[in-house]
Amino acid sequence: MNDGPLRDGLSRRDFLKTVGVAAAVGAAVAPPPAAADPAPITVLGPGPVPVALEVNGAVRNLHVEPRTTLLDVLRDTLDLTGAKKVCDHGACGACTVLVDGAPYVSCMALAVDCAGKKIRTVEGLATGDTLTPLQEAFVRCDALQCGFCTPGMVMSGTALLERCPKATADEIRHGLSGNLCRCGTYAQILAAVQSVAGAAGGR
Amino acid sequence: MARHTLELGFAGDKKAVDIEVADGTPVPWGLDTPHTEVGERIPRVEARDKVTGRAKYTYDINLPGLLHARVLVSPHPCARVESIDATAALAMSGVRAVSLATDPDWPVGRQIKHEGQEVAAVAADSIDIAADALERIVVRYAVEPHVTDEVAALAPGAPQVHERTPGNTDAGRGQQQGDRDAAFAASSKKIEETYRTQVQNHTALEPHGSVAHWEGDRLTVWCSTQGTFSVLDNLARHFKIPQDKIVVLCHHMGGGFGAKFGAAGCDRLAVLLAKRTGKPVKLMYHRREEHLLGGNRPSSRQTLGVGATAEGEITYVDVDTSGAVGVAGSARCATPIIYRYRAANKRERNVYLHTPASCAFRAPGHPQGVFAFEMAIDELALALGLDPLAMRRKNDPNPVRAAQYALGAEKFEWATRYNKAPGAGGPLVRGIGVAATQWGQLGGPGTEAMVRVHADGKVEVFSGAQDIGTGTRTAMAILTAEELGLAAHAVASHIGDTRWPVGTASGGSRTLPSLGPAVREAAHNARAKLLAIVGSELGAPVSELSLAGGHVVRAGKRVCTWAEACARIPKATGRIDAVGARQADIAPYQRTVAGVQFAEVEVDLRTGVVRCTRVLAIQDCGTVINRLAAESQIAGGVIGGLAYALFEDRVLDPRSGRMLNADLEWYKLPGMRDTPEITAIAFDVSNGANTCGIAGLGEPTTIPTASAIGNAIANATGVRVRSLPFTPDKVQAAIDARRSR
Repeated sequence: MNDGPLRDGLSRRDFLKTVGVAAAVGAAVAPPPAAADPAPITVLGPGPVPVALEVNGAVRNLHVEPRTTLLDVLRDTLDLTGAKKVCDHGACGACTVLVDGAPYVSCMALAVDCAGKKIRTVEGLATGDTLTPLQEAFVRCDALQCGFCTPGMVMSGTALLERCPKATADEIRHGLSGNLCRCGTYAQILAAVQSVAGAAGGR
Repeated sequence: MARHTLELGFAGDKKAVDIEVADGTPVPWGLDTPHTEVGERIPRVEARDKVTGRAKYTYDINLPGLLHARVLVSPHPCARVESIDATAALAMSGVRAVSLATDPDWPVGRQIKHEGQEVAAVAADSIDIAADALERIVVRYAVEPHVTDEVAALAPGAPQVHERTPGNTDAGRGQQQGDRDAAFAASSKKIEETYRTQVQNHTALEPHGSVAHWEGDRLTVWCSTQGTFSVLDNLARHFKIPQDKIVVLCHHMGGGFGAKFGAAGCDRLAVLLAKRTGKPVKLMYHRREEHLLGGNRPSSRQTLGVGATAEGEITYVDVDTSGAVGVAGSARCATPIIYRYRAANKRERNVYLHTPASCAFRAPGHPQGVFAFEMAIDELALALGLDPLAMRRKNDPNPVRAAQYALGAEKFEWATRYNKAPGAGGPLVRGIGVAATQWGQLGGPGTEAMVRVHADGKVEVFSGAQDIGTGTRTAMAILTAEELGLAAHAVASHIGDTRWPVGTASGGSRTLPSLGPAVREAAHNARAKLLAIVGSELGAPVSELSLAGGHVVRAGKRVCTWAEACARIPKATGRIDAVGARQADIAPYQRTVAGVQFAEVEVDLRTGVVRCTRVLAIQDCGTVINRLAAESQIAGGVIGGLAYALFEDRVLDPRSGRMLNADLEWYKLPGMRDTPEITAIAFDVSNGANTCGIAGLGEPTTIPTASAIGNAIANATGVRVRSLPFTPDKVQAAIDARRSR
């Protein structure tokens, strides 16, 4: 990698100076905010900070470093190991949980950012031994082999059906396109989600 | 001993074989054997645990005081480690121990021969602290010249990867059969083409890793493995631990595909760090490390020469292959010539590079070899003006495949879907292709099992081996239930603990053909013991009693329930334990299993994008134990083959030799939207190989998919792309080249 000038002979110092000038010009042109001090910046950490997380309906009062992902808190602190760490990069969906009903790749969410939101993991779906219709469908349609992608698939499927109870095959494929499976169970997973959508009167 | 006639084969080819059955052993199943649980569609017994998140994988194990560990890996493909300074890392709060490549007890290699090789490991209170610590370890490398390109490696003056392989190459055995000159002379059409396949990463979702826990001199290891006993053996030998002081556990694991045999660096380092800290240690590879250390399938460059007579009879087959294995492995392309032929010549060689070692990967050698071979046969057929399916049916002597071709031709509507004007029309064009496969793993002796019947009627079956996602656990329950006249879900199936009976590693599709008959024999022995107890109470000879439908039956009449029978087990012991073993093979109908695949693709002539729209896979797997899981496995193998055909590729930077796509964003796996409509047919064959007639299914259906798709692309577009993966750039270039002619 070339460590010299950025481009066309422009050095980093020149670039930063230019940006600085532009910002100054901008500030001079725009009317200043009315007599307000800049809002105070809250700095969290670097050590553990208190955070209250509502997980599967129960509030957990924790102390976590601000940089800790929601996935690591769920798995390592709360022993909710359903969500899996596979890529730790938001690319595979194995860590999918629901946050206020939206599917999150929890490896890309900070735990502290999830305070005050309703977090649902795969462990929170069943009631005792009674599985949800989607979980039952996964079992019945053999929508799993090694099972490592399964919690993420179930959560993405759950989110999709809550949003779109009569999802079509194409909507299901799109809704679960962020979840990878190496064993190759996609056809059976599609059938499982379709059977629940169909039972809801799906097309 | 009793004489028994075994009906083997299938509807289209029956064969009766006379065998001897030793007294007290199970009578082998044949074509006419009626079943109750076997062959039905039975949901997996652990499915509820998996869909609720209750199933605990190695990555999920949390223990009091658990430390989290990470490895530090070399960014250089070839280097010497001159020094490692971990002072700053050890000074960090929360860092408990380090292990360095310069330590005398460093349990893996020291000379760096590929990017990603481990140089240090850290155990800390949290995974984030461990990652921080890695950044504070200062490694001084003496970087050496590397070679990561196959052509460069073979050039004179290239850096030598190993002293023992001058020129960075060694040759395999090769093979010569028949009179090649005569066969060549008899050929009216000859094809010679070169085909290429890419390096492929296993990419199991759960990475390699272990949790190691010492309690005094006893070691417990949870390991994500395909071979619990292989891990025990490896760790015991390396660390000189008495084999009765080590237990390996693997109740659930997140995929292996061939890369997880024995103990990897992460497993050994977990054990070492656990010993050093006195605390349990979890060490899993992070995703980048998993791509670099988790194994790969070697690439291949194959030149095939095939010939045929004017009537389409294959005459000679020449196969000259070379493949990049990295620092170790075998690039052998398995080219089982399943057709009749007169002469065959095979030459093979490995090329060594400063890249990660290759290893076994789902049907090792076959996806590469069969890809090239089935494409060449297709090209030969077209050169002769023959329909590719007709060419295969003409030359293939296997009776099972003959039936599969016929079934497939009808179900796939071969005659109507075959594109008679490839490349015409557009911009979207469709075409179909076929490819055939053969696999040979029928398991063998060395595996045992135990069945336990409790006085309250509960039944358990035990194996120390593992279920890598293939449904082994459920098959054990089915086989036990079949023998005892119960429902499969009434049997509790236990797997993955080396304290339980010894079992094979899960590779080569040999698990069920080895473990299944062992389970059946154990259940058979449990049945005999229970009926002996019942018989003696009733005053009836055991030969008059059987178990069916949850009852003891005598002369067609139910005598008592299963629960009542078990209640007769003496209270002093309270249960029956019975063991069983996999015996030697009996009378195989064929030594191989047969399969065919048909694929349809849609190609966009403007962009070269290939979409696989449908696949029909027909696969012989002997006796189908769980039809639901068998169909899933067949479809899963097809998706694996499709991934190899269209998406996966390990990309290296040509200058630095580093992997550019060691993640799941740029190392491409297909998703649900890429999945074709798959019809999976488990083709029942009674193969007589073992008492259950089971053949393995984990690998065969991943073999022919790439060639079926490649043949379909040719049928759709009129052009032949001879390099995997079939990415749009290659397809487009081939289409453009044809247009400009």
